[in-house]
Amino acid sequence: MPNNLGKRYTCAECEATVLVTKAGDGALECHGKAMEILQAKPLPSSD
Amino acid sequence: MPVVVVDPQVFDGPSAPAVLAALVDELGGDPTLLCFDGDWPPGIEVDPSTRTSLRRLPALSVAVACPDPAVAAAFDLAVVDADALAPLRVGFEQAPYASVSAALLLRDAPDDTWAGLVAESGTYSLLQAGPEFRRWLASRCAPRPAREDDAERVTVERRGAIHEIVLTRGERHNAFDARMRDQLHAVLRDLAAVDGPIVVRGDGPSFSSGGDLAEFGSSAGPVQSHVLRVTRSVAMLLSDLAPRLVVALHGACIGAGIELPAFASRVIAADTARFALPELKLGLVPGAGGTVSIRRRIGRAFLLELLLSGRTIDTATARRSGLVDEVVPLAQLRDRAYAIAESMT
Repeated sequence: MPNNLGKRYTCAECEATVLVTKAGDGALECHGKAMEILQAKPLPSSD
Repeated sequence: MPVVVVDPQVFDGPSAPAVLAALVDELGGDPTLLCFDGDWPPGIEVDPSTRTSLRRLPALSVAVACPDPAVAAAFDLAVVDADALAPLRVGFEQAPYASVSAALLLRDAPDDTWAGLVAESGTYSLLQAGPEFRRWLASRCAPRPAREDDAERVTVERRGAIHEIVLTRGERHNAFDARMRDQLHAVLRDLAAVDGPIVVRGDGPSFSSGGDLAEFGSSAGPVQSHVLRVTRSVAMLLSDLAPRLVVALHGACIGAGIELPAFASRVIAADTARFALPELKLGLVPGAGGTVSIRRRIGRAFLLELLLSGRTIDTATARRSGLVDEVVPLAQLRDRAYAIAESMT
């Protein structure tokens, strides 16, 4: 899976967060598991 | 909410700036509609200092039956006669602060998208704290409570070189809520990193009926809303992606439902599409980027006219004004959007 520029990944085990600053192929792993992509936080309505 | 009628004879001779300055003193800070209505002096020219005075009027200025288009363009609006003014005057009287704010915002709108979005958001938030929006909130029927549904608001599919974004809240006419904003924002950010044309369309009977009214009045406060709006700006992303964006519109395209599509370089509409900007009736101005995107397409005077009248326009008017680029039968909408996208590859 390509890692997209600006995407953030987290580890389920530890506090580590990775920000992709250069896109490329390959998978990100931490504590022996694939890191999970971090979605932008849902924000409230501005209306 | 004063409506002041001024004799266009003030523009005969060099005293216009002084007369206009005295007039502004008289207004005393009340939101005012200034109608320049009467016999226009023949062959007048609006000299630079008069033009500056008109640009700085803290009021909505309308030229009625001005025979010279170049002179008429120095006002916020120009109408052919008093009959044409009537529906705009009704809009003004319903929301004078929003009307004057809209005129001021559009009169000096910057060319830069970001600067325009920040200015629009600031005005929108001021009006959120104003008496007209509050009155609208108090007067409306209790909205359907915002349903906490986890349904996806947006899907993205890749077909060859083309990505297709579909709004998937068709059963609610793709009402634009915070969830749709967040999902669209995330999707557009992803696509910014990928080359190729992007087609945007909506499921269901309409492209989008605009901001979800169930959420109106739910913000933490105007200044919080302002920062939030420019933090997660779908409009800014659409503007950046505009050269490779094809939007296919059908059914109701109301408020944000036309403000956002108007950023695209190619806007095509099915013959079923209809367009309106009802924000002023709520005591607001467009808040999804429309004062930038729609102004670029149709000009400030026609945009202001649509805001004040709140009227719905059909595809013929939309096409003529440049709000949309092309009109096709509904059955051909998607194919045509793809054909245009193909031509971009």
